[in-house]
Amino acid sequence: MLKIKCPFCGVRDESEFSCGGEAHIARPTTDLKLTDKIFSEYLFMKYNPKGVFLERWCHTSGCRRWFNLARDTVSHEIIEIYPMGVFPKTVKGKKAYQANWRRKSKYEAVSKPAKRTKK
Amino acid sequence: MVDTISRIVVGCTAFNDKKLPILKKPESLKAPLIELSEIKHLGKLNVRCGKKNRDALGKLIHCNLPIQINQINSKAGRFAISLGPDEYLILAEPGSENQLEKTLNSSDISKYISVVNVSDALCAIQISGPKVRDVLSKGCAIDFHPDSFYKNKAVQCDLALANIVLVCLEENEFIFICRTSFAEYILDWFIDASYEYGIFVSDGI
Repeated sequence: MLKIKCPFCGVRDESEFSCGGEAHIARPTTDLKLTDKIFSEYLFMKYNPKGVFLERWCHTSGCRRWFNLARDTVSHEIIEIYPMGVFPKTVKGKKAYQANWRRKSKYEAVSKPAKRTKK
Repeated sequence: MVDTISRIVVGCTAFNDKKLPILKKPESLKAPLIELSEIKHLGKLNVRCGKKNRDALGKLIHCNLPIQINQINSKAGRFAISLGPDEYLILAEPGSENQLEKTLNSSDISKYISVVNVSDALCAIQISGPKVRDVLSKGCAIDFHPDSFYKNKAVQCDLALANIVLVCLEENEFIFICRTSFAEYILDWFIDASYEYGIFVSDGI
């Protein structure tokens, strides 16, 4: 069983947590322009790497808060725990973020919010 | 006053279907080492509040809110338990929770906080005795050593299959708060788990 350090409650057993799957999946914002094929990449295709994987976890039996977690799927080593809405900071975590096929997918290119224009 | 009376008559108790008191102990023991009782009709409010309004809220409740998570503060019969970075559980004297809820909802900071009266959804159960920590550690994956689970510490965890908030009042005295619908399951679990030490379940306060 994994021992996960909840950012609020401290180290607890894995059975108190629930896994929310892959982290950093951005929802396409310009959905009207998307083809079904590209939208299905967002909706159905999941990443399943051998090595470091970035996941979302929720401390269901404790504080009920979500957080991100970088875990090695081979050794189960927990590399980094970081808050929602933030990108990983460790070298392995950054590499795992860049190695994800989503970074090159068409849907993520359109899911990035448009840059702010000065009035 | 009417509110108080109607709540005490109507408000549900945790062990409605059980015939209390219950005494179970091995014959070799003279007296049970575990005592369990419900704290009936305790007022419970779930409050969501950010850091900015924490002090103002503490003044309204007459009990400062804990700054650190997993801590409780108590003052004059009121308890404030931190459940998360912005979530608190307030335990108030029986019958005072409706008035407290009104006070909070009509205060200056009412726009920035959320108050939910969970008095009947949750129930508070007190357990005490020299072997309390041994029994709890049978169903709870938490370190119960007195150095790590000390006085005024609170944790949210699973006890057997039920989700509870566990509060340490004294070294061998705990309060836990669970769903009322889970109370009988937890009582059954306690009677099983603490049979070797002997258990006495009283009618409650």
